[in-house]
Amino acid sequence: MTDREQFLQLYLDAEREIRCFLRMLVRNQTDFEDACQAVALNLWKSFDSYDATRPFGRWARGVAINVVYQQRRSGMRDPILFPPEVASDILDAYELSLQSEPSGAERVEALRKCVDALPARSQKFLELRYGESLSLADIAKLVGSTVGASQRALSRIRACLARCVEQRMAIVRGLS
Amino acid sequence: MSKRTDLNDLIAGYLDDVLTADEAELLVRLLSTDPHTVEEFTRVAQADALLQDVLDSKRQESYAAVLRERMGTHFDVSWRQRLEPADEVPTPAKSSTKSIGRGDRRLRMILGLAASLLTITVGLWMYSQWNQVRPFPDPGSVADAEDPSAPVATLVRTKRMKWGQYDDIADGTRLRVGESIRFERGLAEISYETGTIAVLKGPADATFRPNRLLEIRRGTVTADVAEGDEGFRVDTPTATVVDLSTSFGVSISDEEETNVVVFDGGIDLHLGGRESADNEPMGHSKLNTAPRYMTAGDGVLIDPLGGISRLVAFNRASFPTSSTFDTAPARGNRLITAVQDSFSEGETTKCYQIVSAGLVDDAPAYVDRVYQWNGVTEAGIPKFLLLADYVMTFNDDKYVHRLEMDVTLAAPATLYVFLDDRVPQPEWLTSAFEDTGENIGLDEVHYPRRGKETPPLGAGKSIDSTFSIWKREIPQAMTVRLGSLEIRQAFDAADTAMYGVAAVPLDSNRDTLNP
Repeated sequence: MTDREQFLQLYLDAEREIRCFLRMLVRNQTDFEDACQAVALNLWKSFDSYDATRPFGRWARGVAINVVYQQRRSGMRDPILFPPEVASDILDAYELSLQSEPSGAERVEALRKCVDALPARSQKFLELRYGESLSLADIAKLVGSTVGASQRALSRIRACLARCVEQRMAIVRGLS
Repeated sequence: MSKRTDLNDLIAGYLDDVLTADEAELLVRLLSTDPHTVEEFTRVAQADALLQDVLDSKRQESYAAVLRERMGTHFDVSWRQRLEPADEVPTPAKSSTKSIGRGDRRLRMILGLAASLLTITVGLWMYSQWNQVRPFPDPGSVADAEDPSAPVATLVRTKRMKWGQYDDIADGTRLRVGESIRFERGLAEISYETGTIAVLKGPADATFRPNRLLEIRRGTVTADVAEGDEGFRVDTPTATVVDLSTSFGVSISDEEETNVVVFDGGIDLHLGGRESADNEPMGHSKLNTAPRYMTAGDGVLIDPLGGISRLVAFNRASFPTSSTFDTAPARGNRLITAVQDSFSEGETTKCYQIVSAGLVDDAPAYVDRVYQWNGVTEAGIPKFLLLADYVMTFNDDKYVHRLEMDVTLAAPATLYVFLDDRVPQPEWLTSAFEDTGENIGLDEVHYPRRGKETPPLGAGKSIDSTFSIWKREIPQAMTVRLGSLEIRQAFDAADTAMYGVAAVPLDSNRDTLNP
């Protein structure tokens, strides 16, 4: 297997978790897409320095932090809110959450089941917010509610989903 | 919107991009100093990121378009075969306009497409799952056991009603299986043919289903189930309540939480979400789950995914009844706004009820008994307590040692505690409160069955025990901690009762609060 093939295989396996981590830091969608591309390029460029005995995903996300903070200096549309040391703490917590995870696909499957179990109104909120990328004001209009109530509803749904995914992942870990 | 200080609100504000500069600074400060905040932030933000990654249908559609195009020309979707013809393969639209070298461009296209292929596979599958039309099953389409043309209930009356975008329904209209009642604001009193009364509070969306099932998608219902109508059911997306001779309340909040409280008698609570009810009328498959028995005074909160926890307290006005139609709404602000206690989750399912401007003769005293507060003489309860806010506590708490009860007051107030004269005076009371020298009586009615025994009405009648009224002036809005009764082991606790709690505004505020 060539270096390029090896890199692609590792990158594809880790891509979702890299993107998810970047999304936690980079909120502007355009900045985020730029960051994803810049991270991919930098990973390829520095692939020679990757120690194959270590997990690729962890290494890649470490590179990702450096890249986005360089990008921040070079000018983002919306600056990252957090200082690098906070981003580093978030990365540690993120890595902890991925520890012993059978695969990224398991987490997606867990999320799908958790969303499936939500009431229709909650699913509607998610569809409008994430599927249609609507603003809170637009969501509030569509569901006949206020901006504050819509935000509280979304917050509650996210918290429920996070809890549900964790519980499902714990079960998966127990079975694997 | 007021400034966010709660961690969950701050995280939500960050994820929804609505934080002010001050709030953002506070979130960063918390993240910089508190590991727990980092954990919580990561947990919720990770769910948000995954949702965005999976649910971004616009991106999925663009990938899907690429796939469809290539599949149409027998294109092999394996990423390996993407490597060589990369320059000729269109990549999904990207927003970056940055200049990159030819080698980088090639790699970027390779990476973009290769990465997209994995996403295509997962994305298309997710997309199909997500966009699959899976509405709630319509129980009305299931063969009804009852004559669908026969009315099952009547809309008796409404109050402060705003139908809004929904069809008006006139008072007196007979309601049939399959019909719905929807309104934006107000109250609707519905009388079933069986005698059961259901009061709906808007915004509400409810449908009458066969076999005495009321399906609630939104709003609050308080049901007073008639004798002989046991088995009456209220169904929500996450739970089904089956009456066992009782009155109970069910509400679904904007946050998709379901509260279930029992005022009298008992119910069976069946939990279950959509997953278990896809192909059956709502509530049907939930009935196959093991019920959780709830009795008077119990309250639970069910989250949108069916997780259950204790409901610690609620305001009684949240669950209007028929009597609400005949009384004017309390004016002014609520004085007692919250009650918490030291019970851990799982130790009790009892739930405090806060009654705003509700202390009068014959007012219910406890959530788990039908005892009433009354004046010890026909003169009635002391005037300074009339229409006070008060807390219906649990009489069973009299047995609990080391109880801590936190009562939150929204304004300066005089806080009153009613202490059973048969109980030793606890130190937490004597050290901070003073005995007013006034008394209030408790009318104890022992385990009445509905319709068979009614407590005597009126002041000074059937008083079983006397309580001393203690008071403490609270000069500002704050939370006051109360303690437990210090009943000795040898003491016959069965002949005593738990203390009561009431509050009235300090004189300077009384005009602006509950009159």
